[in-house]
Amino acid sequence: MAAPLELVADVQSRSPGRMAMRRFFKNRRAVICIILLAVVGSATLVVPWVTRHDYRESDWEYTYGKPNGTYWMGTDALGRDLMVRVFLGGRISFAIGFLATAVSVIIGVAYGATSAFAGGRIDAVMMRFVDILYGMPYMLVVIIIMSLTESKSVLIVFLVLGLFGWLTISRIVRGQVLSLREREFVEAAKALGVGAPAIIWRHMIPNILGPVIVYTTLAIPSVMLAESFLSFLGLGVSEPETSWGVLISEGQQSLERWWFVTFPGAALAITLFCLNSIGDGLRDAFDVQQK
Amino acid sequence: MLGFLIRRFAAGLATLFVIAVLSFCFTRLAPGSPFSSERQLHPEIIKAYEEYYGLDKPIYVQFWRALRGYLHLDFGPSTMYRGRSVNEYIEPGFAKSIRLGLLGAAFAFLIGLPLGVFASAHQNKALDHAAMSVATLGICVPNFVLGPLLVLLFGLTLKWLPTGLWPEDGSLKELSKLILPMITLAMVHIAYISRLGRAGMLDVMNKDYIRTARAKGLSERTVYLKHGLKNGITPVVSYAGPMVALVLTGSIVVEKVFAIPGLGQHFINGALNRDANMIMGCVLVYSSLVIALNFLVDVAYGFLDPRVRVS
Repeated sequence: MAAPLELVADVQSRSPGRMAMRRFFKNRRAVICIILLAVVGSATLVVPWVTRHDYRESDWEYTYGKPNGTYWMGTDALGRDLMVRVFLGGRISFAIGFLATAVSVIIGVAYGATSAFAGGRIDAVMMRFVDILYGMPYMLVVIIIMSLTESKSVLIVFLVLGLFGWLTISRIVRGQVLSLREREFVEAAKALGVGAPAIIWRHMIPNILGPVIVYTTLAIPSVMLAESFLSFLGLGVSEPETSWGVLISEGQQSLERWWFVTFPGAALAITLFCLNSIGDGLRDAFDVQQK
Repeated sequence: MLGFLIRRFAAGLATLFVIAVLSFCFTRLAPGSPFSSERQLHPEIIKAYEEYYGLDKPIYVQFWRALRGYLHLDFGPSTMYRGRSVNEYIEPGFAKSIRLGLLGAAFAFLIGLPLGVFASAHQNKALDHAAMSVATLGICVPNFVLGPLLVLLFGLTLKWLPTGLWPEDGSLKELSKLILPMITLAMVHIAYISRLGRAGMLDVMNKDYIRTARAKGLSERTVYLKHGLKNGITPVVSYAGPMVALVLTGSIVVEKVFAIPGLGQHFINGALNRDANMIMGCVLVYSSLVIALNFLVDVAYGFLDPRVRVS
């Protein structure tokens, strides 16, 4: 009979990565959050572009204006449309979140991998350095640096946040490399005469990718939070540039106008919620142990 | 155990020294000086100022002098408030901040831990979902959003609670000023503690020794609270370490939102006005606090989990 053969033919090979993605897309909350995040993200790109109001344009007849048909989120102290400013601020918050995370992931992966491959004393010294930095309340150092830079440009904010966020990822990558190196399939590849570059490319990178992706997704919201925190204290992004932290800070100073703080606050909260949910979903899908 | 404690203590001191050197270099080597921003001063006056603050000496001499001061808990004169010492601001500020921080941390444990344990006892039921929704909300609404919203709701709209400032005496009316700051500071920790407590309890309740305890006929309540809780809350204890640093940065925000003249306010004002001594003083007090409390958490963890001592 041909039935067993057909059964065999039906089985498709599935890579661990593809299986993880399948598990991920079964997670309803994570998928909804991806859609929501895409909506918020594209709104920050599109809304300031298509709106009738320029972000610099002041309506002196309607300063501190309540939300109405013309200004859906009201106007600020200078009569500028708040909706445009919320989405423009979101653009910068998003940009800093993604770019700073990229910087820290690149540094962290390079540092962790170097440490693991170097081994011995170099590894010990490099990791002791990470331990010492770990013990530091790093936000304090970031605040000092931010207070001393003359220009509070967006570039500096994302560089400083990126340069300080790589510690966890370097530990994760080092641990993964060390444990992978001892695994049987790597040993088997070595025994078969596979060269080091091929082992790294075929065996190391695919196995490290999962934890790195998960960590990266969870790092983005924490970087965005740090940026808003700095901007809220007046140490981050500053005028004429704006970000959610700046807008929330302005709102906190004139609380009787509820729309000042509510809209940027809600935008930030929704974004953090989505990014955290997606990160949690990815972690469950890739089955990464929480550190 | 003693070796473990000594190693941890030495590492703490080393970290503190690195922080002192780093922040000192950052504050001294940055372009500009605390006297350059305001109206043009006569060069002679600037020179006199620099002499007074010791800024004319090479940096290693400055550091050496400063370090001797720090060891005597003397942080030098403030450049922002001329003629006053940094200590005059840090001491009362610290007293407020530490009370606020302890209050927030205690509240977080008091609410978060029972919430997590109850949620785990009713896994996947309505109570569990409700508790975990609160936790998610706490993580996604940062304190600098939550604080203003609480003031808006309970302070300005409902007028139930005062909107800020530090209590002037011990009367109930004055102390109620602390309620909103405390909730704002604690919310995110309530969220993390309840999540960790829930996960830890669920993990432990599947262990063999729990089955044994049930098999010998103990009541579910005893099993849960006596056998389960002890091991189930270890993740919560290890959260206490990172929590210290987070409460600290959180209190900077809370002090700004509620206009409390604590250490965080002085730190931020010092940073905005480039008061190097004020910055150094606040950073050293903060870091010592974080490092000392982390050391205590390590000690506690060493007692709870003997495996930690060996590695």
